[in-house]
Amino acid sequence: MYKLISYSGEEPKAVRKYVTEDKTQWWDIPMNPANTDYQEYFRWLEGGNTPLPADNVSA
Amino acid sequence: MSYTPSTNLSLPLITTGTESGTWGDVVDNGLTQYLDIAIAGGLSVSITTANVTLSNTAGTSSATNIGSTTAQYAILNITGNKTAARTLTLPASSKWYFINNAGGSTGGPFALTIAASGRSGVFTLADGERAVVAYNGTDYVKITPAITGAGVNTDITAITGTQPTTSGTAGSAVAITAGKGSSTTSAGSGGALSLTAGAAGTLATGSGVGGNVSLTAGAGNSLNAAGTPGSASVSAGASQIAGQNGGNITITATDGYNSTTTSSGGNVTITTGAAYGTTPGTNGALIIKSGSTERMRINSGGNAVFVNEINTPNTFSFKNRFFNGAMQIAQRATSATITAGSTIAAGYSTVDRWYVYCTGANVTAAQVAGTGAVKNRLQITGAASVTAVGIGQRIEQLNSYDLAGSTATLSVDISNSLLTTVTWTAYYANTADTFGTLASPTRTQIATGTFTVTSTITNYNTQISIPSAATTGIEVVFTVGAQTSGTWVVDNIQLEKGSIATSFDYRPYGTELALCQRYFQWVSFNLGFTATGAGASLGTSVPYKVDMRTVPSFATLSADPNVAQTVTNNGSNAFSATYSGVSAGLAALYSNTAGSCFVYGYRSAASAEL
Repeated sequence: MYKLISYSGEEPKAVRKYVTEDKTQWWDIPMNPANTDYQEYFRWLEGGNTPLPADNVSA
Repeated sequence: MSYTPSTNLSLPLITTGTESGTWGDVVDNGLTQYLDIAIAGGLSVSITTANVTLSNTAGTSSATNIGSTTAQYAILNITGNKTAARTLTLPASSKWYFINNAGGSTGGPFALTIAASGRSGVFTLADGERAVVAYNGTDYVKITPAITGAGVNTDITAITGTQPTTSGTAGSAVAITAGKGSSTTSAGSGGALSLTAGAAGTLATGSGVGGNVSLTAGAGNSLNAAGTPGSASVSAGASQIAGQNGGNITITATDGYNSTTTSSGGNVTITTGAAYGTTPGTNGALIIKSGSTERMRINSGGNAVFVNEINTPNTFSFKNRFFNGAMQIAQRATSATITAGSTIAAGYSTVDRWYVYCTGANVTAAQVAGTGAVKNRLQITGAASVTAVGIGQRIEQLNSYDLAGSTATLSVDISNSLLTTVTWTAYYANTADTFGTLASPTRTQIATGTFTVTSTITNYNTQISIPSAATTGIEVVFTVGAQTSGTWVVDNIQLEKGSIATSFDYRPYGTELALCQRYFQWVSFNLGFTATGAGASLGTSVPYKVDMRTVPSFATLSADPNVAQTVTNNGSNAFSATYSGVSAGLAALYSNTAGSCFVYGYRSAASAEL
């Protein structure tokens, strides 16, 4: 399960991947094509999936 | 005439009671003169455009009859330039000659056949050749006397081929050939050719110096020494092989036979002198010089000393393209359960840089203690229903680019208490550092193979030809099948340039840790500030230990086991890395209210694995 992360209303620069069902453990993944977690997220998107919308996190 | 000729030299045999008054003339002309030339006389024989025949002549009371074709001479000096192969015919009677074939050839060289009258000859003389020949009852044969200094206190200064006077004509060859082995009933060995300089003479007052052996090829050519298939060797107490006038010296062992069967090329062995004496000294060192300057020395103890840098691809540290091949670095955990069907990212769970995956059922991956000189190993513990297990590492493009187009050697220590086959497979990424996932790989296979293993940890190695296209990063995966029980252990995994598996590349722990932290590290966050009110924040740079391969992913904060946890007045949205632009450059701390706000003793995993 992925969820977008946005800082101060900006365009999302990261996506959070929850690794437990209770969403207490996650990886914050930068939207950088050299990051393999992002590559995996990108393929997930190409599979027709959609992430949860971002909470507007203050920064 | 009242006398008859002798059998071989036609000397007069005077009939008893005859030649009264002229007996002395017959002796002078027919005997004395002929004995003179037969013992010491030399005849110049010009041989050019036709064959020449010498015949015995006989003296009379009035004349010697010795002429230009008289055959009784002892020495025949051949002159003139032959225009074709020629024959010198001599009497078919018992006689020997010393023939000095000083003649040359025009358009040749052309051979000179020596034959008895009525015969066609059994040997030839080359231009410039000297020989003693003798009639053997049938024809003339060449007698090749041994040239030896035994008992002769005279230098033999040269055995030299003739230098022709005609422009463009090759000099005559000088060949010294040992005898061929017999091949009548069983193959005999060929005779050895030995060139030995004289040893030093010794006296109570001192000793001389042994002679050198000198072999010199003509300018612009090689000095070859080769047996077929025996070895070629040059050895002597104080001899040397010396190139002259700046020439090179090349020592080349024989090639293997070019036949249908495989054969090996010959070795080149350089042997230094051994120490001798009641109290032996030190064996000789192997010394390589450039000019008069020593560049390299291998002493009798086998130690090599180099004057300057050593340029060799496989001898020294940092040759291993894998990081943490010794399994000593385990930043995440020393043991983890690998969930069947999980991703490579999830497989990075124990020893650094090595991912583990499995299918069918979960397995346990653990850093375990090694034995002997090996401190750690990676151990996979199988379980029922497991269908496959893999251990792999992806090598970044920047650390494998130069392997493209070369041969690399993969070596690994393996044991397996259940299975006997471990498969290795090498890949390169289709695009730089992008290998894809287990389900959707984006990589191209380079090669694959298997190791047949046992329950005893053993080193295996194989050579891999890396294609020139493999400039995008290399991945090596070891796999086994149904590890339904038992353990699979690996360590000392090495991928190095070249075709020889060298010793494992042990690097300092701190260095290896830093190398691994380019891909994974724990980032500690310890921040504190005085807030002006609720929601106040403090940002800081992420304190990376070393620069990471790319912008990392950050895991949920967790307690740092090395620092006591203390949290005061922290914001509800907690503490997290904040991605600023395209880099994770900032971390931020938020306050609940005014006053002191701090968080100490927490860390986050940062991953930039491939």
